[in-house]
Amino acid sequence: MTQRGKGVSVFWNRILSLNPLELLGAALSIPLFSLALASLLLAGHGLIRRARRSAAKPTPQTGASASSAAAQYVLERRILGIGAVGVIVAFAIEYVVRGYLLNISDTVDWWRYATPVLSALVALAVLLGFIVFRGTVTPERPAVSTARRTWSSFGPRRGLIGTSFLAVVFLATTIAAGLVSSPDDRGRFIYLEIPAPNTTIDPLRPWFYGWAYGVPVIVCVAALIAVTWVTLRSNAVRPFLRPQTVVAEQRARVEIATSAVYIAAAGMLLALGGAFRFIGQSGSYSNLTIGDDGLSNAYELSWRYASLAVAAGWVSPVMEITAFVLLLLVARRLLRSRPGGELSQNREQNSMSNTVR
Amino acid sequence: MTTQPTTAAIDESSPALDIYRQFRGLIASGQLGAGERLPTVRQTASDLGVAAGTAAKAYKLLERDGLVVTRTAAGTRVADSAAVLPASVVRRIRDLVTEAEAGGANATDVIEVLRVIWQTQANTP
Repeated sequence: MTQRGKGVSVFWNRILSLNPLELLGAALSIPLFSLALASLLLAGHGLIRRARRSAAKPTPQTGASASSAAAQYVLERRILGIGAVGVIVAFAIEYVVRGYLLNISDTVDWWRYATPVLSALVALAVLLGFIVFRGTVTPERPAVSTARRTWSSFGPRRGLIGTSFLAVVFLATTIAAGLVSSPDDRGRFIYLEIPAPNTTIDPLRPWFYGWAYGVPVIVCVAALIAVTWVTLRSNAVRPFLRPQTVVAEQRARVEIATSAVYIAAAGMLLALGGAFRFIGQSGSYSNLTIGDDGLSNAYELSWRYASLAVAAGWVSPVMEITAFVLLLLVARRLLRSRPGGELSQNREQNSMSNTVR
Repeated sequence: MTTQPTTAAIDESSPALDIYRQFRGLIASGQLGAGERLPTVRQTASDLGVAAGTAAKAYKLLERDGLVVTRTAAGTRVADSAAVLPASVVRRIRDLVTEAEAGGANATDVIEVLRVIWQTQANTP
């Protein structure tokens, strides 16, 4: 048997010796496995939905005015759908390129956490540009709105609260991890010092999500939040085309705002999941064995927040799966459905209740 | 006490007067509840494709007629005396319409059921 053949055999023997729980744990340590799980979850959900829909009534036909209103939002839906796919693709490409093609030893690769945030930011910035330059048109027949429209008018209430909570957790994680980090000889806060008490040996210094990682990523998160806020506001405050299309346009704007919030939340979840995964690695250092010439000494290492770090490591796949589900949901809803599908359910005459006769 | 004819001095074809009449219609028909905030002057101007000054003039007319009250930081709100229903009730009616519409209910049926429930609850000791 060749050396290569032996290596493959050892690998499979090692895999087969794991129990199912260990195997699942090993699989969940790969971020792209979270993508596969999310795809499976969504495929299952899609099958159930299709089975239910086949028993439901067909949707009403689209009215002429609703169709024209829907047409105005077609490109915005497409931009968001492609943007959601783009975030997944950017995440996968960065993972493969960094992991298999680049040698980045001794490099503070903060961009690995910032990539999903930046790709979400680019998707929303393109949408914002489209809304400002193409999506805000002079009304054909002005309609007075009874409600004051703000950035939160069309956004999903729970989604906005969840995303705000996520931003707070991100900030708290960055600050907490930064405070416990230590600098290297070049002043980069990339280490976590884990002392071995009652010994003369140097503390262990594994790489950690310190300020060198946290600060650039949190700056990107702040930029993403700003762009999301401006996008939601621009989506809300633009005038409606006609009194007859107000309800149809409101629904389209709800969908755009919801998708924008989902993409922003998913970008943050992927970044935070990665940070938690990195922090989680630090929880595994508890025992150090130093051996020389057949003699070895075991040292107990203690880090105060080790259990917290382990918990963060377990939460990270859940965050990644949630992020991928959100992105796939947005992509499926906006790229596969007919543009007028959602809007077809409008009763145009009811739109008059929001306008002046 | 009657309302002052403040609009008399304004040109009948003025866009500000049009906006004033539209909002007066919304308040009189009960579509805007007591204490409910009006859209900002900028939003109204943008929605109707007019200058912000024109929308501001319309809001001033509404204020002079006692239909709205403007307070710093609180914005422009519908005056209690001018509204048909409180803002909370109007908001719930809007939600009811949205919900009924989503469920494919008929407006006449909804109104009839509302009337029956109202009478039943009113007669319950």
